[in-house]
Amino acid sequence: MSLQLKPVTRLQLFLKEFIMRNSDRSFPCRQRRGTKLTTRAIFFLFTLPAVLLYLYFIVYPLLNGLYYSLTDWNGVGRSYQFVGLANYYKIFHDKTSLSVVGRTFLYTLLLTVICTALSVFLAILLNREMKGKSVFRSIYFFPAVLSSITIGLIFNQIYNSLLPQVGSALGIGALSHSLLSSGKTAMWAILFINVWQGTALPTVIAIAGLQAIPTEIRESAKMDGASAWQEFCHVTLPLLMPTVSVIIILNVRSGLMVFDYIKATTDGGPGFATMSIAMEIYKHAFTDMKFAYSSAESTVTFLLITVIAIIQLWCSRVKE
Amino acid sequence: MRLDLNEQERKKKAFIQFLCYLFLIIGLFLILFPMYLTLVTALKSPEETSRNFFALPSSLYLENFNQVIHKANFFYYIRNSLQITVCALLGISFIVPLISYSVARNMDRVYYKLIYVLFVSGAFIPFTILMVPQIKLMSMLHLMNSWGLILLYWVYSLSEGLLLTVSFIQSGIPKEIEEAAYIDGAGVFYTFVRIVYPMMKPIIVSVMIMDALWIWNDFQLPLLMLNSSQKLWTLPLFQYNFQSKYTVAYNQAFAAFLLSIVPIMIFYLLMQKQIMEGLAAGAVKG
Repeated sequence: MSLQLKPVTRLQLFLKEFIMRNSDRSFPCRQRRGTKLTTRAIFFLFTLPAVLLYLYFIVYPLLNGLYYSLTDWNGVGRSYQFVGLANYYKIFHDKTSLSVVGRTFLYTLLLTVICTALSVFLAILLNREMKGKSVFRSIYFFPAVLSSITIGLIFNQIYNSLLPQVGSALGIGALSHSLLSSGKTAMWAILFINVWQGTALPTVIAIAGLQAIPTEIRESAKMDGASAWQEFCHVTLPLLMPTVSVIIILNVRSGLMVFDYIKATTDGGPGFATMSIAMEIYKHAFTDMKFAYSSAESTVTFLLITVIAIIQLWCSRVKE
Repeated sequence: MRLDLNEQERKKKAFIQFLCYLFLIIGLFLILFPMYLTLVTALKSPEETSRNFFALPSSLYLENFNQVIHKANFFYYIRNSLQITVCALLGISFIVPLISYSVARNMDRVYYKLIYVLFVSGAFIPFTILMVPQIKLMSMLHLMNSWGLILLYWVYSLSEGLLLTVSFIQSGIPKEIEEAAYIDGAGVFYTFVRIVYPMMKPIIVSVMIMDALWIWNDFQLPLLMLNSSQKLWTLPLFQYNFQSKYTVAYNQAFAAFLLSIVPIMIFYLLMQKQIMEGLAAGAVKG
């Protein structure tokens, strides 16, 4: 049977192809070609709601913001003028803007270092064999599911109402005033809130990262006589690096964009002591009527973040 | 000698174990202490709090809750939040799988590849950069209300949702099943609804959980969109405005915080595993 069907000559080959093509062109195939067209159309229709939403509510405002940043529009008036790069010039010559950027960067750096170190440390502790591990884990993760505004407001009350009373009762001068009312301590108090909540999610990610490392590798290092510290530095940490870089990216993002905690506590004050980039853009656009200026600030922030993202990508490439 | 060494080793191990516990318990204390303060302050009268802030309440004092629930109308804002979250999730559970399926199955075509790159790079754009022109757009469209907010949640769920769902389809749903359906004469729409969508359930559920937490807890978008009209406030907005209104009556403020924590805590206790996995996966992928 199989011998009979095997095409031997070119003619037979040709015939076979011809018959196959012909049978393809016959009735069932026309139907298939028809469905192929509608298949494409339906796939295209599937993307439409999302694509239209995305183009109109993300891409269009992004370009629009770029355009506004070149004008002097206040956000409500009917007329405005095209002023070129004047807003950008102002940003780079405005001392408060520059200090806000500097403060946000310092804040981000501290947040990233503290949260990353703390979350890796906690993950190692929580990954050990011990009693009550799951209870520890669920409590350590709990802050991540709470609203940042709830946390911010709770700490605001603690800083403003409870701590000063404790401070004066115990006779600690530094604590008898609210930590948030002094320009020197306010940003640190906010950083503490952010660390309190912001460590939870990275800890879970780090635990997941640790569990992905095969135990044999770590055990064989121990068999070779490596101390726990050596094993951590030379085996665990290098293997954990992809996870750590995810945690760093996460922290850098939340640090640069910090808003909720500040809004819940100091609203940027006292003075400008706790103004972050996000707070500044918000204030300028929605209360100070400097709409075009805040658009320019948004654009500069966008560029900054892009540069940081590229540096981060480049760093992780180099390491690999 | 040998025994001695073993003994030492064991002592060292026990000591390390002890240190671990010590650190973890200190951390536990740091996490639970603000929660404890919230609880006891909410259950005490102002007079009792000023006498001793840390002690447990001497008797059950529920006046704070009474004030928050009846005078400040707490449940009204819970309902607002619930409505917005549910409507947003319904839309997301429809829009995201649709586009993800067609992108995942047409990655070889330019249009779909372009969509994918465009959407995924959107995940790196922080809201702060978009908020100024976007809120302007919304107010021009007269959408500064709950529907506008829901619409923006749909928009903002796209990037991360697409990223997670596409990789799930590509690695988790074999093409052969769909092809078999096509051969049997099923159309794309039918195949999607009856075969692919049910298979996507796990990833849709984890995207939903992530988005539910985010939308329920979100503060910045509602602040920008709804703050001027009190009857539209969501729970986070209510808490924020309640606090600024009653700065002195902090016992009531704590009662409001406690009441706002309770629903999310129940949700967490019920779905802890899924929440942990979902949030971790979302963060790693995003």
